[in-house]
Amino acid sequence: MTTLALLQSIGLVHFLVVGAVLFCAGITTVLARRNAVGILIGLELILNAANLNLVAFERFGPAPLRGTVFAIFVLAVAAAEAAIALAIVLNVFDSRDEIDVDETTALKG
Amino acid sequence: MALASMIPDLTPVLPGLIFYGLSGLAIVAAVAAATAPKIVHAAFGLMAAFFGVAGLYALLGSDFLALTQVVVYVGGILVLLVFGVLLTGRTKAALGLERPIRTMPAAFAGGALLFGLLATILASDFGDGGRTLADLPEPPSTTAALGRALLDPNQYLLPFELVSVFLLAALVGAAFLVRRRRDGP
Amino acid sequence: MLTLALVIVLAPFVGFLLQSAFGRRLPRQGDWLTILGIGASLAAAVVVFVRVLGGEVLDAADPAAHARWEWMRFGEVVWNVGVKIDGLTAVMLFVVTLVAFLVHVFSSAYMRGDPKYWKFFAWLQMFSTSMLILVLADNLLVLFIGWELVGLCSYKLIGFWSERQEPCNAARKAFITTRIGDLGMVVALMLIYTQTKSFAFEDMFRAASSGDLSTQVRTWASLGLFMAAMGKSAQFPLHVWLPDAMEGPTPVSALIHAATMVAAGVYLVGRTFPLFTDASLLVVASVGAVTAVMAGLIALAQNDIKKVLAYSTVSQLGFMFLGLGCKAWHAALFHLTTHAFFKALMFLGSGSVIHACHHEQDMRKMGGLWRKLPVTGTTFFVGVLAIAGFPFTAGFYSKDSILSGAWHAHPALFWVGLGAAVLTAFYMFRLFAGTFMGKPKDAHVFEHAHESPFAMTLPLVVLGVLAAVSGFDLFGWHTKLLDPVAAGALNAGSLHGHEHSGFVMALAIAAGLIGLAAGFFVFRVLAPSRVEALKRPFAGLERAFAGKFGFDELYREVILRPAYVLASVLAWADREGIDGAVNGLGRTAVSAAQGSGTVDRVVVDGAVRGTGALILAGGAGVARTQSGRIRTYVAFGIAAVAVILILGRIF
Repeated sequence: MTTLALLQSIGLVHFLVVGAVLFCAGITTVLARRNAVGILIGLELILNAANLNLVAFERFGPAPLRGTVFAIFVLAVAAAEAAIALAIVLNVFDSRDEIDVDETTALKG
Repeated sequence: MALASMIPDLTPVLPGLIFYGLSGLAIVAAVAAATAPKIVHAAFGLMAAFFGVAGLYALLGSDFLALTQVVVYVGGILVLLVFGVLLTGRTKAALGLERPIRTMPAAFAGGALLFGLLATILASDFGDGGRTLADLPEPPSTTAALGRALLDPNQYLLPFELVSVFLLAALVGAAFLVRRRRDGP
Repeated sequence: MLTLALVIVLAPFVGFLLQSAFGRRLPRQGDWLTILGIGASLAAAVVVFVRVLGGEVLDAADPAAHARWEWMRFGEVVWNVGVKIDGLTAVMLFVVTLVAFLVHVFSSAYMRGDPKYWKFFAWLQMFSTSMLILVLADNLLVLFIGWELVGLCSYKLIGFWSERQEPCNAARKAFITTRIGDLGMVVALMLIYTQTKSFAFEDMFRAASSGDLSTQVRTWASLGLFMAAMGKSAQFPLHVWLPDAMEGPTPVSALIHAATMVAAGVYLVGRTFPLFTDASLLVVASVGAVTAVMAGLIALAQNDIKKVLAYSTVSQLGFMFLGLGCKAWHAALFHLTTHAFFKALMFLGSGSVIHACHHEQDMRKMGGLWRKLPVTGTTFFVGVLAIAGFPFTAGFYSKDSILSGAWHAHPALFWVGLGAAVLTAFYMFRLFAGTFMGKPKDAHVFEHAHESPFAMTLPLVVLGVLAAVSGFDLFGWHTKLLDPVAAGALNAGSLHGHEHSGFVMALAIAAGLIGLAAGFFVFRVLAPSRVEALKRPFAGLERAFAGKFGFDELYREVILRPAYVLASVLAWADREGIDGAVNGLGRTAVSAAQGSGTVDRVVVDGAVRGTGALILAGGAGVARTQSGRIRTYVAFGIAAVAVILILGRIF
């Protein structure tokens, strides 16, 4: 396939592949980092990958708007999650000067 | 005249160029976010990835979502994350005591997952008829339609209201969690 | 009819919601509210029972009232929730709601003064709801939901007195042991679904009879279902949790661990009977027979009233599985019903005794209580006669039909079952004699014993009457309710419990009478010293029975201890190996710089990396599965998904 054809044939699968790569990058982040904030970064990547898939399916599928609406809800949940998670992280940091999730294995303060 | 005819017409390949540019940006940034040893760098990688994904949304015709992505993710969530990094910055990391991140096993797991996902995606039939971006009709602007859909009782009004209540609850919850404790030390 | 079905399920559920929200603040902590909830359910169940008896739904085309609603839709795939009422459902609804209602009433006196009184009733309501979901379900998926919900409620109620350690351990043991069985159910669900693309009972039966489900698939699927039933119904070798579950409050033992939840395993096998092949039925029958005898032997040597009853329950459930395995479907489900009545009766009776003796459960300290507790004693005696199979009591008819079913199908198992029947009569008489007859063995306990209040004796009397008469074909509940379903389950009237042969019947009667007579002789006629002398040659046996054949110890040594040792070794390696290594890296680097430098570093570094990699590869498996580290959990999830995706491509 020539470069030209490659550039002209952007289809659904292309977006899905990008989504998959972002998703796996997010997973890797979650797995690699001990820092709670780092794990949040990975989670946001994962949610973005999911959203990208939703929008791509909407564009290439028959139902308009459905993916976008869903993506907006995901966004709202992500925002709430980030706020709550950071509140928890700050609390944990306050109580034990540590946000390494491997060290904070007990729920008790 | 002669010059203009020498420049090839880029219109048919423009979506492709934009796609590869944006997804390249998103992927490189995401990988950086995953592997950067310093958490601040990871946050900046995430920001770049957000921009890349926002561009992809725009390419897919979801103009409203692209803007929201920039405003909420970059303007809101990312700022929160950076706050988090800075507020908890005086940890071991600052003292050089942080244990190194274990990228290799994680990358291995992520790679295995990616392999599985790619194999599945490439082997699946999504019923899209192999259409490309160029085959699709020009997408209409989504903002107005989206507003109507979200406030239409027959469509998404109930989830919309539930999400607003949920956000309020999250707001109150976050404020409650970080409140200054009057009692105790 | 279907409105009634909804009332039956929703009344206790609404009761649960209200009770858990407001119970503590209501007058009498809301016990009347929950009694009202289950009472409404009982009333609706009675109406259903009567209408099904009247032949309302039993027309030839579809012998069940049936409704289904769409629950989820994924593209082409639709999952339904549905309610189905046939004769078996009607009987089960009646039994469950009645026993639950009586247990609620009983508890209002038994649990009086408990600090968590209101919470107890809330969980009783939730249990009733879950059990009714399980019974009403028209497909395996919904049944599975009810199945897991009753398990959860059972867990909460066994561990109700969570201030003490034993109930918590017992609750965990019950939950985990039944979970092992439930694995089989999940496998069976997936197996059946992939083959038939449906969870609905009628679809899988159609596939089974038309041959779309191969014999092999049916065998494995039915064995999976039976595994779940073994867990729930405490069959060998998963029986170990039920006796421990007696740590829960006695009304809970009566409702959950005697009458309803443990019988759900029998119900499950009965419901999915057309899936069972001859091979899997043989397994069912054998496990049932072994369990019946083994639990009977253990019951001989127990001194705690509730433990005796628990083992007797295990043994009776074994009887039911023996019946099912011998294609005596009718007999097994019949025995389920009568057993629910007389075992609930005896558990509540033991509750009354325990209440009277101020929470003394050891029968060696009782005796002579009949005089003090006339109602409890008399009703308990009816229960003993029923379980022993004394002629014309309920247990007589049901046990007799199981034995005759066994006689026709597997004569060898018949003799095993007969032995278990003798044992049953013997140890039940031992229990009764030790508790209610003879001289008081502990004056203090005896002095303070008193008959229980009306709220406790009323359920005893109701159940006593049922234990006496439910064996008869009252209003035609056998012929009109169970028989049509049995015919469907067995592919129209093959082997049937009613073909009694006189010989089998005589043996069955003799078994009960011999057991009772032997019990009377040993525990009433002989002097205690003579009994001791008689027992002496069998001391080893008695120790084995009293030690429950050492199943707990076996599991501890064979499963728990190795797992624990492995876990601690790996945890040590994890701590010392990885963490120590990584932390040590900094220190080693310093010393390396001071010392000879590179060589040292390469060696140490290499060793460290090697250890780390080794531990990661091998140790990750076990020690870290429960480490509380979130990332480990995520890693396992990811690994599983990756494996499934890649395998899915290969196959």
